[in-house]
Amino acid sequence: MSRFLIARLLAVFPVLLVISLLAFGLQAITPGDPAILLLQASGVETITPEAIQAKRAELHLDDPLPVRYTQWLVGALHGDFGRSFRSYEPVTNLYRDRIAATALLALCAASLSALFAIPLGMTAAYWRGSWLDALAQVLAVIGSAVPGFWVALMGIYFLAARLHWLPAFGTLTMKGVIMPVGVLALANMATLTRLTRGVVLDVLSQPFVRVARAKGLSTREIAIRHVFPNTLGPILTVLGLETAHLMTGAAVVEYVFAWPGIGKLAVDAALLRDTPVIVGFAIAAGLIFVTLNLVVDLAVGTVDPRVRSV
Amino acid sequence: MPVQSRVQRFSSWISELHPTGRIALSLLLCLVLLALFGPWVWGQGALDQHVELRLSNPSLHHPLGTDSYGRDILARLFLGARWSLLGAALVCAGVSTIGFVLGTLAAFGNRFVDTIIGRLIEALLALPGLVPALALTAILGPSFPNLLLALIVTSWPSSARIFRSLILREREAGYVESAIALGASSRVVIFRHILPNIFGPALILATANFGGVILGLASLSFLGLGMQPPTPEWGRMINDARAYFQRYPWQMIAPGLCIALTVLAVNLSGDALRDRIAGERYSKREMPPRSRRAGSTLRDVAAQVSPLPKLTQRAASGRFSGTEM
Repeated sequence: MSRFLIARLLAVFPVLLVISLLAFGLQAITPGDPAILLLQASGVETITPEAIQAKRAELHLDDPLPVRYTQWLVGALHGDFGRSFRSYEPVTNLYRDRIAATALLALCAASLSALFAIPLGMTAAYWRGSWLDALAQVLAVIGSAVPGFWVALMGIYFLAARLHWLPAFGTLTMKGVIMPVGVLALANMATLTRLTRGVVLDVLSQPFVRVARAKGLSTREIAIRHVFPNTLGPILTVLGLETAHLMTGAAVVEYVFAWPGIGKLAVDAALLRDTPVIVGFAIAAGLIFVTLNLVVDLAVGTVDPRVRSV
Repeated sequence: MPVQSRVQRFSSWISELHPTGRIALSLLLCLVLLALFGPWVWGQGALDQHVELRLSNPSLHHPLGTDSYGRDILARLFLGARWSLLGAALVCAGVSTIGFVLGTLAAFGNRFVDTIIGRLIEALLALPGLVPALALTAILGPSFPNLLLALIVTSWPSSARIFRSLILREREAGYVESAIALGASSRVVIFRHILPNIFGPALILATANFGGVILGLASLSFLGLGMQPPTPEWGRMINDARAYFQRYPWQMIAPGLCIALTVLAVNLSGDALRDRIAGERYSKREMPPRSRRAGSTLRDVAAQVSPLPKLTQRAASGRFSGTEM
């Protein structure tokens, strides 16, 4: 297990290196002079050429690219990702203040979808060809075809504007959470149901299930002792990755509900072309993904010894 | 085996598809036809503004009503279909080209090149879905070509990964070995021998992401990062309708239904085609040796590729069946 752990930890570094190069590259191709934009954002009234020169020197903008990258990387390792072109707030603070709201949304949506999708997928696999299976498949197919932001808008129209059951905007209250979580869980459920069904069918066709049946074990015992443990690995993997995906890919839904999370921050920044904040989102997304991936791999390594031997 | 024309063979192949697949394929065909000829047959112009008719309810003349500039919504939907389908097709073609080039480089290059490309793919797959595309479009400046470019630049890794494994497998095949033994250069081997043999799987691979690309285009256009007004685009139309949706919900419902229907048709058609190819294993028909060879790789891809999101694919097919590169 410790060798597996070390191998997994070491594999993270090249990924982080490429992400940092990409983030720096995005900054480097941004048109416009960051020095001027930052001076404007900081509220300086008259921008003198001297002030611009001083700012450029402070940001190391006149150095060659490799030097700039190294300096940027040193800053990044200390948690300094620059300041917003608009609000002049440090990017790190902007994300730190909003990550909890996004995590709450992602965790609620992931749990809700798992709660429904895993049993549904399993039942669908066991009673293959039944009406329940058909229902699960239809749900999965439709769920992956309907755009999430549109479902969100439809929810706002029917549940908020027409029926006045729920608030139209996502707020950190019991009622305000329901709609964003529901919309995100719906799309997630489609993927998860489909995957669970496939995994269970796959396990059911394995020789060890046939052996268990031949030994005379009951269907229930086979399900609990042999089938379920073997489906855990893939399901855990996907659940973890989906949570990471919900934390970063839910930006459009967050934007529709005006949810105070990192996704909305990123979309607003994208519309204002606030490069440091946009790049911060790519970095945040990369970090969230790498971390959750690692956690999932270790969790799967714990429940499934076969993975460790790789 | 009786002599059959290409058309007959194709139609019998189609008729053996799953019924859902046949319906989905016909629906897709209808959508393509509407996108091609709809704006031309439907007399109303998508850009013609009739200020006296602004925000009107559905009528005979405007079956879906008009928007805030008095433009006919149905005409705008037809024109929007063109952009969605064309945009997604361009992205898929671009992604496949980059995937093929880098996959070939990785498979035929030395160890160093292979490692670099492999690491790059891995790192880019760690950035989820639309995040890099969102960042790149925002920085390049919001426009439809930039959005397409951003989607291509950010979504080639999964394609390159599958191309690499396809090409590696073909390289071991007898016919490639014979060609190399006969003194064929790498270029001849790649373009004359391997490319025709992986063309089928490559096409399936390209279409597997088609639905996802349509959704991505719509989402980013909805945010205002894609198609700029006045050109209609489905995602953008939903955003435009937001201001009036309390009184005119149809303006928002219709484009959303169009997106969902298109993605549904694309995904189901893709599923049916993959199932059909995977099922060919059990077909009793005799096949000439080459198409059987191609069939075997097709089946492999059919097993690997599904319209599930990238992550799921990676988890489901990569780590647990040991086919990870």
